Amino acid sequence: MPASLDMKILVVDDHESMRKIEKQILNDLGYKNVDMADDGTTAWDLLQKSTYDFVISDWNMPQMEGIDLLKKIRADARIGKTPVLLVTAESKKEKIVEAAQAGVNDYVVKPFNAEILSAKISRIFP
Amino acid sequence: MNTDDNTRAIHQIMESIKLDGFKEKTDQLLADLESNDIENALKSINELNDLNSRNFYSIIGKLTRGLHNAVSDLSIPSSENQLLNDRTRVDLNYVISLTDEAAQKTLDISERAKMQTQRTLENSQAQVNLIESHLSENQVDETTSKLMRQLVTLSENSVKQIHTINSDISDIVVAQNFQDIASQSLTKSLNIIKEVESSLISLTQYANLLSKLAQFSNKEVSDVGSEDSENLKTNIGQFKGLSEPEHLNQDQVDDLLSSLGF
Repeated sequence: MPASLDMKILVVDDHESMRKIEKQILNDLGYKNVDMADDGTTAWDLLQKSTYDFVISDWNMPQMEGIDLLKKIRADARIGKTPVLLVTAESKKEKIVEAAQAGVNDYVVKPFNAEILSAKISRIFP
Repeated sequence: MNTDDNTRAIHQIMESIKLDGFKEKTDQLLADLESNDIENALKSINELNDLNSRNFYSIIGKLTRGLHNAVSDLSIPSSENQLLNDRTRVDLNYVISLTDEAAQKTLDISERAKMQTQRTLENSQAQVNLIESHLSENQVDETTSKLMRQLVTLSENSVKQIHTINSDISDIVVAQNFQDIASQSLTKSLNIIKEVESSLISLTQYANLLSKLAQFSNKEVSDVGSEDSENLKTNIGQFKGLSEPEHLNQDQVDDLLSSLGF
């Protein structure tokens, strides 16, 4: 499914600055329908209440980490197929393998730029 | 001490690690063995072992002091707190929160700037539309027409410049994501340093207690008085305490290292 500029995106990161940066980049790319959550638990609550077309999540967060959020999403019958992009400072090979095994759609290592995020979105929504 | 001083101090510690008396003891051991004096050879071996242990714990103690001083100097003075108390110091977490605040401020200003440029962009575009609409709907003389065309060109140039400014603001925003990774790296480094320091302090405490207990090892049962017995109990009690993680504050660490001669 190609990326629609109207798609509803959930950005999950415990750092407010990162949430703002990601939202700003998404807005610049034309995606205006962006919600934000500051950890996995809050994100999970939002995912239960609403339907999102795309989730962009950090890995290291309090309460519930990004990898656990990904596993919960994949285990859920209703939202299990929601595309998930992990944006994280975790660049160790085993972490990337773990994310791949958990069913992540793609992986961005911080720091990143708008071009990288745009390319990943295009890859996930060809 | 600044970072360079700390580095020099640690180098000095490493350079000072000389096994004082080691050569004399090994020479003595060789002489004992050559003369088939097994009793004295065994004594020399024990002395070498003692020397080795003393040097080892001495090195650990000096390194602990060096690392402890280096960790203390990682802290930076807070200008706000200094007004209240010159001795108040805060640690790297303060640096992390400061850089985070700076990033937030940059992001907030960037957001406001983007809103302003967006409004300016819309105004410039509206100005171009108005002029073009006026030119197409009304008869104007050549001079006025030329002037209006120049105004349109200027407005169009402004629109291009605003797009460039917007792009630059976006780059400023994106550049802030280095703050996040820097903060995570600093936090991880700080935790590792604290763990190493804590382990070295525990090892120093252990060495100190071993040394206290060693004074009883050469005594006969009849030589151990009631005072010795109490001391022994106290020291054993401290050993049991070491099996659980002990969190010392800054002053307690300083006191411990000073009491051990470091």
